[in-house]
Amino acid sequence: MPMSEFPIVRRRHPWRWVATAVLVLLAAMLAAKVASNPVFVFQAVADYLFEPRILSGVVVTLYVTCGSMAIGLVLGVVLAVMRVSDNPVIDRAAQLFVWFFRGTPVLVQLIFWFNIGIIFPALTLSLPGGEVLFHLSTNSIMTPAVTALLGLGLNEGAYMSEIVRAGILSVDNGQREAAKALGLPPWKVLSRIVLPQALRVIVPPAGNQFVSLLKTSSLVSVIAAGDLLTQATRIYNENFHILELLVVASLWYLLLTTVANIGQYYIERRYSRGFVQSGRTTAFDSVRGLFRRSRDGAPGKGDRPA
Amino acid sequence: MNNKIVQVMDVSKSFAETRVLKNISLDVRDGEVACIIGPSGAGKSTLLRCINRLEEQTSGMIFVAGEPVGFDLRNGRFHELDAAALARQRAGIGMVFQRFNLFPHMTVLENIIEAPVTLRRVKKADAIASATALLASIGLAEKLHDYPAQLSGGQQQRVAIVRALAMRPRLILFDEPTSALDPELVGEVLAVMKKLAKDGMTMIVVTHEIGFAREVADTVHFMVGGEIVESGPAASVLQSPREARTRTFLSRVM
Repeated sequence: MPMSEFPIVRRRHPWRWVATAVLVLLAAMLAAKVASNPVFVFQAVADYLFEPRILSGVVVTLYVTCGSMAIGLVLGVVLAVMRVSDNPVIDRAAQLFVWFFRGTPVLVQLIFWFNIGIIFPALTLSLPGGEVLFHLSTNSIMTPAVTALLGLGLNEGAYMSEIVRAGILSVDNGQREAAKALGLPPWKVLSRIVLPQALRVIVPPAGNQFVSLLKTSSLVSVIAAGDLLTQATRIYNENFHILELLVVASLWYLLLTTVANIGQYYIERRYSRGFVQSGRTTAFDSVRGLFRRSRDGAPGKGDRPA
Repeated sequence: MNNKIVQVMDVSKSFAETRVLKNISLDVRDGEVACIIGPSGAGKSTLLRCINRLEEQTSGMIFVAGEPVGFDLRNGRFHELDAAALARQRAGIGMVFQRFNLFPHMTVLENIIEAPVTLRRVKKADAIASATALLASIGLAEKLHDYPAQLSGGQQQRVAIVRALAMRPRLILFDEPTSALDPELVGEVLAVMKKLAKDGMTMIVVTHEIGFAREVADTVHFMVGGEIVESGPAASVLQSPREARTRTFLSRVM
């Protein structure tokens, strides 16, 4: 008897509708409560969202984040390579660095660097004979922006080194052996074979670090580095719209982290070339999928079957 | 077929307390195909990996093309080479692994030209041309731009052989090249190896394929417990072994 005569009735999911209804109701109640609040001034949020000082704060937050991430990445790779080195002294030195910078609060490090001029008032490079090559006052170098970059970058390097090391360790030893057997010198084995494969494992947690750093960068408001939160604070100290300006700052942070997520998606795809695509679908994936399907109905180049 | 290209001289190797190689000596002449057979744990792979110094022997010395591998003989002493000089020596010794070890992030073509372009300073266009020709000769021309994960095990191993060949090595070491393959894919890899042997490539092959050894090998070395128990022309070792242990092993695997 052909089975096609018996239609299949799919299972219904009534609880999904119940859950949706409850959540929508709660959200509506919250929205009504906020909207009817006489103290919170919505117009202030709109007024300050694109205020020049806020925008300059966004720019500072971006470059402090990107700058210290770049420092952190380079430092992280160097430290991770030191950690897997045969040379025990090099390995220990890297361990010590990581131990120190992960073991102390980044806020303390920032304030410390900001005040480094107290113990080292000047940087002087002189020849053994006594001739001075250059002489600079520490405070003229350690501006809030430089301090922010240095403090966050060194701290980030310590965390990134463990992420990079995990990536290096994830690469099968057979890869190293094959590269060595071909006659590639150690530096090429690392740069051409091991690190590119390690990146596949490094990118997701590094993206996580970047998003985290975007928000951690708000700590530099304690040294008045002029970032997004610093600017918001300055403004609400003048007009007392405290919550409104915090909402403005939060909206910008949300936007920046969303953009970072999208960037991470593309970087991840780039470094998973040649590997079986995992079944993981991100929210961004499905939005992207919607657009693509409506546009040409064909799977894209990146969706190569393994 | 007369000058010795590989000379293993009194090589021993210990991991902690275990001696995995015990005073091994063997010679391989230019153009010879030498098969190393024996039960697992005999030290066959370790011996092979000492020849390009992926493993370091505890004592003894290995010469390839007259040069001590990993050392420089000056004033009657063997000075250990630095990493760069060792890499240059390894470039002349090809190796094919049990698990292929193709670079998964590179296409077939990139796998093959990586070392020649980086080390031999071959022009990229020339490297691509010769890689394409080599691949075509083993029937994989259309796989040029595929990633290793898109190939079958047999195809991956044939690409791995081409990758070794692209460096124009003096000899190629094969470490159980068919052991990780599905049975129906073994034949295509052995066929490529037979062709290489016919073209006069010097090959040292650790293998469980007694049929291949009988058909292709010039000499067979039988290892047990870190020692070479019996060596000689393939026909005599495989057809009329002198040693009881060789006979027992062969009766089990054939």
